[in-house]
Amino acid sequence: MADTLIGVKNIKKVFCSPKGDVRAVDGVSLRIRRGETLGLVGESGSGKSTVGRLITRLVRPTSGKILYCGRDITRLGERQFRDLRKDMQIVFQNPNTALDPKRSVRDLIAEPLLIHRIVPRHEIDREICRLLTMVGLPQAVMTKMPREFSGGEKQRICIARALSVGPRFLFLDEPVSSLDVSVQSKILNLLEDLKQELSLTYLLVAHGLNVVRHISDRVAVMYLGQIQEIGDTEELYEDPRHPYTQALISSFPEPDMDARRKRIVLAGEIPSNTDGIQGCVFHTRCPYVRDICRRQAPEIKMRGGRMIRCHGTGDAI
Amino acid sequence: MKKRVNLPLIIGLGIVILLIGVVVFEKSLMTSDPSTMRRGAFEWVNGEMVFYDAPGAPNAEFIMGTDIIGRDIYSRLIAGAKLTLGMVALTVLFRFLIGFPIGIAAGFGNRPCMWLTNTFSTIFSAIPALIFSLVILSRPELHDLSLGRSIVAFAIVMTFVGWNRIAKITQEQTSHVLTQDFIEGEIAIGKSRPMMILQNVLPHILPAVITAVTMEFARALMLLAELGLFGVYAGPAVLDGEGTAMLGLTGATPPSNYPEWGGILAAGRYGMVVKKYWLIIWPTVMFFISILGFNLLGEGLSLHINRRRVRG
Repeated sequence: MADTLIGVKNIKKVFCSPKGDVRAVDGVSLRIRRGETLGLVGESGSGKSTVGRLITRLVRPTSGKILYCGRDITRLGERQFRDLRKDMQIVFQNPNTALDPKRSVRDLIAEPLLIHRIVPRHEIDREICRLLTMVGLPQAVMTKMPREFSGGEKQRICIARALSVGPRFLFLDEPVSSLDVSVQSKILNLLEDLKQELSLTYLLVAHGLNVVRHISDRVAVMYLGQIQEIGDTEELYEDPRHPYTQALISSFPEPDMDARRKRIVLAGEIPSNTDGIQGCVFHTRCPYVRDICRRQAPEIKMRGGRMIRCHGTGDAI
Repeated sequence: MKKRVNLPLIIGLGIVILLIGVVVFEKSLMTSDPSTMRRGAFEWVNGEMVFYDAPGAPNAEFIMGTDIIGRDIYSRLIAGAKLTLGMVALTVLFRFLIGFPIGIAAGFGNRPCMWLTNTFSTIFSAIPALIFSLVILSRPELHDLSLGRSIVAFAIVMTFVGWNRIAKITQEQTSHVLTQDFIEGEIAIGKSRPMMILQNVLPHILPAVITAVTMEFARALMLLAELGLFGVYAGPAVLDGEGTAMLGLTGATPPSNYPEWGGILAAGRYGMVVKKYWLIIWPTVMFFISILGFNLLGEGLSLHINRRRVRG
């Protein structure tokens, strides 16, 4: 489709380890539309971060394709991909470790500007000031070192650094999960404003469901390296259909007493994704498990305007 | 918090500065010519006839005595500082020039460099570096080299047996930096590898590498002293075996022509046979002080860096 910025086609990532191969991402396909925010939720270990890291090529896929503006970028060499790096930027989870502690704010933001020759050398300081103002930091911070800032301020610096190269797509890897609650909403609002201002596209990975609901247009739910359900945020939150989504949403406290749903507590642990699971990956914990779930893995299918990976009928759907 | 004094750093720095002072002011520190032989000779000093026997015990004129062919040990040690420390510096420079780049490449996961570093570390933890260099450097082909060539030969052999330590430390430090989160940020902005080494790796690993290089001076000095104790030193001898036998010094190592400390130690071994302590004790003391100095300096530097890291 014309409005697709990034298309992911059946991508897989297997991490080899001495204990066995870990199938971190197991056949994920999704589309990120131009100008939208796609939220990616799931438990830790579900492979949601890996999807983002595959798209931004911090890790290379084992198989599958990633299309950027219709062009397959998985086959590009490191040098060719470097040009694309300025289109896709990342905001990392922990701003305390995401900045080189030995480089000043000016160095940190000047580096990407110089690498991609965004502005002429003599205009770099002016550009840095503009970026700092954009993320709500005073210009005087230029000469300071990362350790002199609070977590929220560091995250602002990370955002300024990511925006310096004029990206079209931002991968937000749990951008607020290591920040104080009071700062979280400020950073989220900043990200919202910047998205409008610079017409950005976001892929937001988070485990805080409220964070995702707050700024996502669509949400994809991941479990054990597979997408279980994708749908528009409000619809999905109001009417979760996949049993895993239902459990996930119900585990999240609802402020409105009347609207409170029955809480579904999942029994058992998330199975290890080193051993291949026969049947549906969720069948070990699914409250509606049936025979077919144990034998045959369901395909992800369109059902009532939503992509769902489940055999279920009746109770579940 | 009470500011603790970094004693190793102060003492180590003091000794190293002292050694550099000896090299710079050697001319005014020497009390006599370091290569004049005074053996079985009569000399008129202030109207009195003096008989020089060799080796001569320490006295007012030669405060550390004279060696087996009657050369002033004190002046030789002073004159030898430049030569000895120069050889050591050359060795350390070679070790650094080879070990540092290989270590960085190995830290980045370059297979051949990792293999080299590991293999050399394994080899020289099994075979002592001393034995290896002894076997090569005591070969007769190397005996009659001129001083310059001999120094280069020594530096090359001592580099071969010892470059792996700097490589190993550099590798460990580099791969540690590369596991840190911010490296992904640098990849994300499209930074090339050379720039990453320059801007993100070097600033982090330099303190540890500087410390390692300082320690390397001590290690190279140690090796030189050990080689000297086994009678192997740089540069040609002033006498050959027959010459020493003619002088009645049967069993003594032919003394070195040049005042390099290892050579002084080598010839001084004879002092252990004939129980003339000054032949061996003074070069040993010089080695001891300088090895101690560089070791303390290295230790003090790492202490200083670690404290700063804790505070920063």
